[in-house]
Parts: sequence; structure tokens; C-alpha cells
Amino acid sequence: MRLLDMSITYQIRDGNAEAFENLINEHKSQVFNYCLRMCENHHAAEDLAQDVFLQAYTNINRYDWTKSSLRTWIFVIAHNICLNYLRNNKSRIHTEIAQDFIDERRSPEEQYLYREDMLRLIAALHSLPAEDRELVIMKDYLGFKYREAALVMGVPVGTVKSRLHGIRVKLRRMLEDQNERQ
Amino acid sequence: MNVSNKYMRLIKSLPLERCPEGFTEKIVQASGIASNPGKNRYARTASFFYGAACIITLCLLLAAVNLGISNGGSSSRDMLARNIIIVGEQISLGFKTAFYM
Repeated sequence: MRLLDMSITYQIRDGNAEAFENLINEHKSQVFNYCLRMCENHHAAEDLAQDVFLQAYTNINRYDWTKSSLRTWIFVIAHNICLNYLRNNKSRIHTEIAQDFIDERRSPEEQYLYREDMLRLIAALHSLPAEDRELVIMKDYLGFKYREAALVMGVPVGTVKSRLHGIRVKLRRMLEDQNERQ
Repeated sequence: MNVSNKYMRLIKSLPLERCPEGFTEKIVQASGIASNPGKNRYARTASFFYGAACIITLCLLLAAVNLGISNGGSSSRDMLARNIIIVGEQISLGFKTAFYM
């Protein structure tokens, strides 16, 4: 897999537009959804995700295939871009619920409950600090391995595990409180 | 339902949003990669010349074999054959170096 990553980067370095297009197509869904869940604003997420790929293209010479996979490297860029954005636009960020959460397989009643659940979950996620939210998004939402999440965040794997445990407990409590209030 | 299970169930059922239309094309265009295929063209040219050099070397080797190489011979035919091989090797090496540079 790493050798494939290396080959892709060499092709992009050689100016192969098709290789760059394939790279974007392979990772765009995860990168876009990562940005979307980090800022919960559709337009900002699109701009941030585009920035991620443009920076990846500009800095493709810096990718070291012996240290991490291409996906992890791209997410390191996404991590820096999103956290910078959140830091610089703290007061100006307009969060919106970016999705309608429509699932046509459900009955109207189930649909209503599902939407309520999703909105509650997103509200709980957004009450977390950005770094904690990021960890949950990567591990529980996008299915990263502990090692990958640790590389992206630049912390040891043990720290990721213990932090994630704490965050999950916190989220469970939040959801429990919301359930009791209803 | 158990709340701890509920959290995992909710996060797992949070759908992935589809990327906006034309997302890839916008980035490829903004990067300018499509209008700058210079390096790629160089790589193709280099591999063409490397291939040509290999064919020339092979021809020279065949010519040398045709002339007949005798061990330790010092006739003008033997000298010519050896010189052909040396020239062939040098051409091949030169192109190989250029290709990997």
C-alpha cells in the first residue's frame, strides 16, 4: 500500500493530472466530511477541503512514504487547516446543521426520531473542544486506527486511547442528560 | 436502550455527506497541474531515449559478435570489436545516468 502511495506521489510530482485527480477522488469524501463535522458549515467545509488538497499538491515533495500512509499525511494537513480555521474564526463561525438526515426507508415517526437523535449527537459533538471533537470524528465516525489518529494529532497512541475513553464517557453522559430532560 | 450503546449506534449511523458537484475539477484546475505537464513530458522523452540507447547498444553488441571476438586477440578485428562494446556501454551508461537524474 505504501509503495502504491509512493508511486502516486511520484506521478503527481511528474505533473500527472490524472494521478492527482485519482488521489482527490479516493480521499475527498473522508476529507470533506472531516471538515464538515469539524466546523458544521457546508461552505466552509468545502473551502477547507479544497485547501487541504491544494496544500497536499504544493507540498507533495515533503511526503515521506516511510513515515506514514498518504491518507494519514493528507489528514495531518486537514488537521492543521481545520484547527487554524477554528482558532482564527472563533467568534465568526456560523454553525448550521448541514444535513437533512432524510432516510426514505424509515417511517415518518422513525424518521422524526432519527433526525432528533442526529441533531442531539451533533449538538453534543459541538460542545466538545475542537481537539476532542476531532478525535471522535476520526476514530468513531471515519473509522481511523488508533495509530493513524495518533500520527495525525501528533500524540502517542496511549494518549489517544485514554483521551478517547474520557471523551466517550463525556458524550454518553451528555446524551444521557438529554434523554432525561425529555 | 443503554446510553453507551446508543452513543456508538448514533455515531455509526451518522451518514457521510456527499461532496459538492465539481469538487475534484475545481481543485485540479486551481492547482494548475493540467497546464504544467513539463516534467511528465521530460520523463517520457527520457524513457524514449533510454529505450533507443538500449537498442543501439544491442546493435553494437551484435556487430561485435559478428566481427568475432577472440580471447586475448590483438588483431585489428578484435580491437574494433572491443572498441564497439566499450562505446556501446558508454552510450548506454550515459543515457541511464541522464534518465535517473
